Amino acid sequence: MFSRDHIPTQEDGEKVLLILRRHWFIFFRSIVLFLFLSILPLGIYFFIKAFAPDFFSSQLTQIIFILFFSAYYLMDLLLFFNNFVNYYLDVWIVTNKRILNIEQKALFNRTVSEEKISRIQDITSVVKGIIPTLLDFGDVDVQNASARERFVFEQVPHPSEVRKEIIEFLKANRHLEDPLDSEKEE
Amino acid sequence: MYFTLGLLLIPYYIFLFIFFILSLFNLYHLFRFGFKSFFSLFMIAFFLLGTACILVVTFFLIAHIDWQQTATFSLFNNNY
Repeated sequence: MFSRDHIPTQEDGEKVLLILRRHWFIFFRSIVLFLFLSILPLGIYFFIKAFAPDFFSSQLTQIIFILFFSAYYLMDLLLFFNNFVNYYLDVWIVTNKRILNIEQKALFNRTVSEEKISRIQDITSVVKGIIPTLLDFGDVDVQNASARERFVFEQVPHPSEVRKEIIEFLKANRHLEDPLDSEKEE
Repeated sequence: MYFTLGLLLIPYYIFLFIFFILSLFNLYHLFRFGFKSFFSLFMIAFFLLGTACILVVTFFLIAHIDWQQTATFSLFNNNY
């Protein structure tokens, strides 16, 4: 497992400035879905009990019911856990040297990319929608010098503060020259 | 149609096999790439305890069943 002092491919003297994850509301939706799917079979059970009391008189239907709902609850739990893993493993790390973009898109689909912090050219924060505005979460769009790739910190909490923090760090560390700029000057 | 009740366990065991494989992948990802925190450890414990609870309750609910018995299945008349 990683920690704040031990990030992937950490370089000497590299300090973590920010570890960003999606807002808790994104995972909260998975909790609501999990609870809804957990209560659903109880509703079905009481509905059958009320309208077809003889349904459970046969042992065969009892066994099918038990095995089906055992599998159903295991599936519900696995879905919830999988949503948590996808939520938890999507991480954006800002250090004094680089930006790391780690995304767990699916169980077998993981993307890791990085860029030197000195190559950042533009940072934009975007908050779109009613709930994101109320809870203050949104995207932070990081554009680098090469313009090949953009880093988007998706649905992170307090995006404007994140933007300010990175800009302040870059202003305070102007000595972190862009290698491309130094090449151009030569 | 006649069949032993034990036959009903086959799809359930197949499901359990797939469930455990997917669970192992999820746990592996979390341990290999996740950040150590109370939240992640809590979720791992919740998942493992939840799984254990479901399996134990299922076991107790089906423990009394004689799986060698045969059952008759008909769309129109269930005689078991």
